[in-house]
Amino acid sequence: MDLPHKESFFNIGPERYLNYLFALIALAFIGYHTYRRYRIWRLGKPELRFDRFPERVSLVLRYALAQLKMPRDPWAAVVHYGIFWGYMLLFVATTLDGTTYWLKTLTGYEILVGPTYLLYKALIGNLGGTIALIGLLAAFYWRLAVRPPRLRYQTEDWVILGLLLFNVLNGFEVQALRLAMTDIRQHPEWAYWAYGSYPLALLLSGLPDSVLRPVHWASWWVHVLASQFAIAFIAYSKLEHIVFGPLNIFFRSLEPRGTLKPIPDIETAETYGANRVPDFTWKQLLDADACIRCGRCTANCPANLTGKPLSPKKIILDLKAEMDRTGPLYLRGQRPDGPALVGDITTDDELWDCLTCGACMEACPMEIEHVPIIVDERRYLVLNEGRIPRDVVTLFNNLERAGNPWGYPPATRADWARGLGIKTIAEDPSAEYLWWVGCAGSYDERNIRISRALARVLQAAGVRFAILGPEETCNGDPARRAGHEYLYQILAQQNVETLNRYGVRKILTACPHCFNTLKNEYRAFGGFYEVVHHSQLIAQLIEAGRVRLERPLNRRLTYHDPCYLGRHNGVYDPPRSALTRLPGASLAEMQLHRHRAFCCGGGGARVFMTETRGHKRVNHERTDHVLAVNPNVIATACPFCMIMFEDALKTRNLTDRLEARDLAELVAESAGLDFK
Amino acid sequence: MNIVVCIKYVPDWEAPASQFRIEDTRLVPAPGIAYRISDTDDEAIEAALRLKEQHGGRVTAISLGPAAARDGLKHALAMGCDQAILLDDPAFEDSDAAGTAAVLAAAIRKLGDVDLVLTGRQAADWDQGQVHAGIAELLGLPAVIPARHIEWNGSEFIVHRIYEEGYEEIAVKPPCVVACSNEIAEPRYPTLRGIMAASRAQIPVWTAADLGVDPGQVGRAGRRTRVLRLYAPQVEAKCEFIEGETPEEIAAKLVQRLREEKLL
Repeated sequence: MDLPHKESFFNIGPERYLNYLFALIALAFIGYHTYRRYRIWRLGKPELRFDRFPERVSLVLRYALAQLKMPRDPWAAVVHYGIFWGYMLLFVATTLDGTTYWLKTLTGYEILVGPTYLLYKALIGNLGGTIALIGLLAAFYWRLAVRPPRLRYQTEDWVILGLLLFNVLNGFEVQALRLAMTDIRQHPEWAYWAYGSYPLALLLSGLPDSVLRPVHWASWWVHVLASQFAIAFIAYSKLEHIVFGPLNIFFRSLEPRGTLKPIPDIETAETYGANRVPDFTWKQLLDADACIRCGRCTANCPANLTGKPLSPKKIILDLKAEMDRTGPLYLRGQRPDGPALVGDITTDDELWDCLTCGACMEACPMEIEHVPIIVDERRYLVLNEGRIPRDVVTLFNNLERAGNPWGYPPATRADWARGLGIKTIAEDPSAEYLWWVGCAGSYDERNIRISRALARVLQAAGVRFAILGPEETCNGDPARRAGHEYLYQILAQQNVETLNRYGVRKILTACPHCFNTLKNEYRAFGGFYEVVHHSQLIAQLIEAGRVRLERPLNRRLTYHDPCYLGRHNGVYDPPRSALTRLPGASLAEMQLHRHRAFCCGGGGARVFMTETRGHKRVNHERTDHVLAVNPNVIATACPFCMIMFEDALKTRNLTDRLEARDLAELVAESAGLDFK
Repeated sequence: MNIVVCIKYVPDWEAPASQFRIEDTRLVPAPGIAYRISDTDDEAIEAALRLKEQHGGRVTAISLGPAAARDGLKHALAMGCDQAILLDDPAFEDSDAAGTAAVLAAAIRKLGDVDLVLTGRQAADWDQGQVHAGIAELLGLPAVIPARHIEWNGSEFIVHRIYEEGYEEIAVKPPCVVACSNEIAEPRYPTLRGIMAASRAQIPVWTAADLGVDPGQVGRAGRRTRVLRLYAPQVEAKCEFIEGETPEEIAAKLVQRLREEKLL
């Protein structure tokens, strides 16, 4: 038989079987490491993440295998796809090689033979090596010449790259040595299918066997040892993400992004929020182990980008360090002392800087859930320690006493609607929509204008709606995101009770924060509603021809995606569909839009807090993004975004060239409705 | 160190005037209005808690009814007070400042062994600012009114009493009464642990009989002051522009107008 094939374990004697021993040892390292971390994860609180299995498998395929977030950074894509797919192919090649050997030894049947063998060599082994080489060389160039600031540059990072590069080159060398002694001499027409090692093989073929044989033998063993060392090193470096990353992606929350979990049995809980390892859920502990320290979260964090101490990456790595320090102690049944995670290691300021905008979670290739961790740590500060910034205490007091963040009297909640002929749900119990106006839409002077515009649009379109009036209170979002879960639960229970008493099914709201809470978070309290954001309803009404847009606006718009509408709930298109139908208006997108949108600075109850840290205010930074596309109008669809933009325009003296308008106002204006 | 803090639970004083109704000489808040611990009374609680945290001891919050004041006392417990006592009796209703002071003084006497009585400088509802002095008078204790700072040096309280343009530093031996101004300490927000403990706590009620107070000396029967008339003042603002050719002429005309109005 002289079909193309290769002699397995060429030039390697019976000591060849040691190879399997080393592989087992290397795998044992990974297994032991995973088991040790598993025991630490088990210290965490329970959390249900085993539901909806097919969706979870699909997540792994998309984000772990296809790595769909990678192309967002072209350099990262070349480097990571190169190394990942290169090594995947090499792994397949080695596996096929081994399978061939054992099949042949045990059954005499050979699979890698003839054209199959040549294709295997060209399209699996040598292609894998080549792709990995490209990825690795790109990695060195990226790190040495491009030097992206989000990456860290520690010894470990260089050791890993060096090791991977060495293994690829060493692999080519071993193959070249074998080819020089075999194919080059006997079957040169087979040899060039191994194009990766072929040139070196040609060079070496002139040397005598007495040189080639021992060098090949030594190189082969170096290759085995270095490869197994790299595999074992997975357990001792950031390479652990090969194991923990797919796991973490599999267990990702399948709830809408912005959804937070209640503290169970808050009335009887021993501690509130999270400070020590057992206070976190097992999934949050797994989050910390899945971190690859790539820094994408911090590089996309609006607080960090404006110079504030918060770095989502540090939040996660602080938790990991706490697990490393105290996890083993807990496992031995001891209670650790020493510095507290919240306060000493992660500072209060870092936690209060978070806008809960979710840019970190959106950017994370490992699907780490930073925001729930930060909120759990805020819960600890608020509920356990009472370490609360002044502004937040005022917020809580106002919510407790008056049911709104500013402390306006509850009795005047519906005063904004005077003269509009709007009924309360008590007066019109069969209205199609219960319009949840929200605190800003009810009390804030600027946002009252938007409520009035929306009322006019709805009336013109013949939508039958009613409001709760003074029976409405804050939905609880600011309390919850500021860590006061107890106050949130009181407000949520009260509101669910009110809504259910009126048998409400469909809710309309112009506030993305109310939208998110009512739609996603009231379920835990027995409130199941169909919740519609006004941008969605308006888009439908325009589509159906129920709102006639007649007057040309003659303005250039840009649209700012509110985090709780866009990133957290995926409502990107309806507002754009409405805006692009406005006659005489053009829509220019900012560089950071849709899922990459940059927070206005008002999320996570920050709209009620003074911004004291950092070199720039978040709303000023976002306004710069707006100015870059040179519009006359910032269109948005969130009362908090509106407050933040109005503030930025005033403090930067931009009011004569740029105005902030809600979608509802623009539509009312174009429809020729009087809403002043 | 045993500290007693006297607190008053009042309708939200920041609520707009429309939330109140005048009935004869009584002010009736709208139903559903929020009640709060009076301004500066919560600062007094905070000052007491800080002294306790530094030097040990016990903080007792007391409040003269109505029963709704129980919620205010719960808040005081949630902040960290060790016990709370509600002074409630139909005989206490409608007490004036002297009557209120008499009831509170009787309660403090009953508690006994008190080193420091803290109060707010004046309640946010009527702004009278007399009860602290009344308590001191009835118990025969020295009083510092109003204070912006207090500390304990081991044998005396060092108190900064607010002056028109500054403060005077007074060393006062316990027991004594100190009325706190808002500068004294920023009141803390209760932790959830505190709120939960407070919600389970029992608040004893002391009546006139418990205190040995003569019902004829307090409440409506014992009033020594009487509100004659209660009304919302009508504030009228008039704006007038003085015109003229030169600044001198305008100034002369202004002086003339001010004289006409008898303002000069």
